[in-house]
Amino acid sequence: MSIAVRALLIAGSILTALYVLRRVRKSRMRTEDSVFWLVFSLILVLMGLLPNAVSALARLLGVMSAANLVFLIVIFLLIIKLFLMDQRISTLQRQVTDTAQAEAIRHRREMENKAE
Amino acid sequence: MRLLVVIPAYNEEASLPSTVRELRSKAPEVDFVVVNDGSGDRTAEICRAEGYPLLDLSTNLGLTGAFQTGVRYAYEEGYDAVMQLDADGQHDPAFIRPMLEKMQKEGLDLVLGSRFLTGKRPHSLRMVGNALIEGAIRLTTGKRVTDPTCGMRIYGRRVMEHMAYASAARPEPDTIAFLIRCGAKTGESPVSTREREAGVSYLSMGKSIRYMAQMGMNIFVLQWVLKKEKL
Repeated sequence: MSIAVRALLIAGSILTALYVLRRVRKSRMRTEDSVFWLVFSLILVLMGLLPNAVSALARLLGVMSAANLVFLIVIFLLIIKLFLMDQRISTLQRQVTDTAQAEAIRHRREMENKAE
Repeated sequence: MRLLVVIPAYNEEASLPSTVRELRSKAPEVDFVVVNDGSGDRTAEICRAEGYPLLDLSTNLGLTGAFQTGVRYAYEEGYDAVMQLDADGQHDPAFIRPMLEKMQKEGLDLVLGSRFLTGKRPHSLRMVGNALIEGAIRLTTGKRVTDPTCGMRIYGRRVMEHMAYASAARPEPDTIAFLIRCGAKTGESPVSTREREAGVSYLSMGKSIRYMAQMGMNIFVLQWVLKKEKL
């Protein structure tokens, strides 16, 4: 892996971690949501700091180059995140639907009671 | 038997009053409720001014979510049956009484309106889709449903809880197939509908393909992972 790629990995991950921590500090992000990104940047840093380990793993898996393995790992992590987000959206959608329905029904009951 | 007619309305200020007028004259004995699905026009104001019973959704949930609101209300208020009536005047309320009578006489859980019980179905691309869904339902349930996409259906008390709360429940053929497989007793009753629009535009073509793909997927695959309801 070239020095440039390693520098990018390390710089990118440190910036990500700092940004996430700042958002947590300002209460813009829930701590439980920050865990993924902190682990994510930790993995990027490790890959930047230990290029020999990445190369060895690439050879072991039959991946042509260490950089390819870095891509593979990042894509894998992002797909997991995408899946989790999709699940979260489904849940939120169900909750919004449920809330709107309950509110409409409650409002109707209040009107009925007033009419009586 | 107490029936609640649910009229989902999204930006229907133009046709809603005449739909309600027709419902009141042709089926004065049934209760109804308008579900305003977060309309941007005067739908809700018209309901208040005219004194229509109204469930006012604060945001647009789409037809499924809007109809479900009405079913939930009907279920919680102890109605025996619930039915969907389109606000745009496509559905003729004259058929409500015979459908309800059929439900009572035969002790059904589900009465499906059908445009093709008598006479042949017309030849159009839309009907090809209808026939495909009919085939899919027949294959998976053994039941013949001649007009699975017709929106005029009466849901009885035994299937109302599922319709009101299950997130997978929709007033669509896939849910009908699911309910049949859960043991719902179904029957068909002839109806005729008035077409709001004729012809197939490019957009509705794309939508139909998506709809068909979704129905196929749901009827053949996803239904089987849903837990069966004890009716």
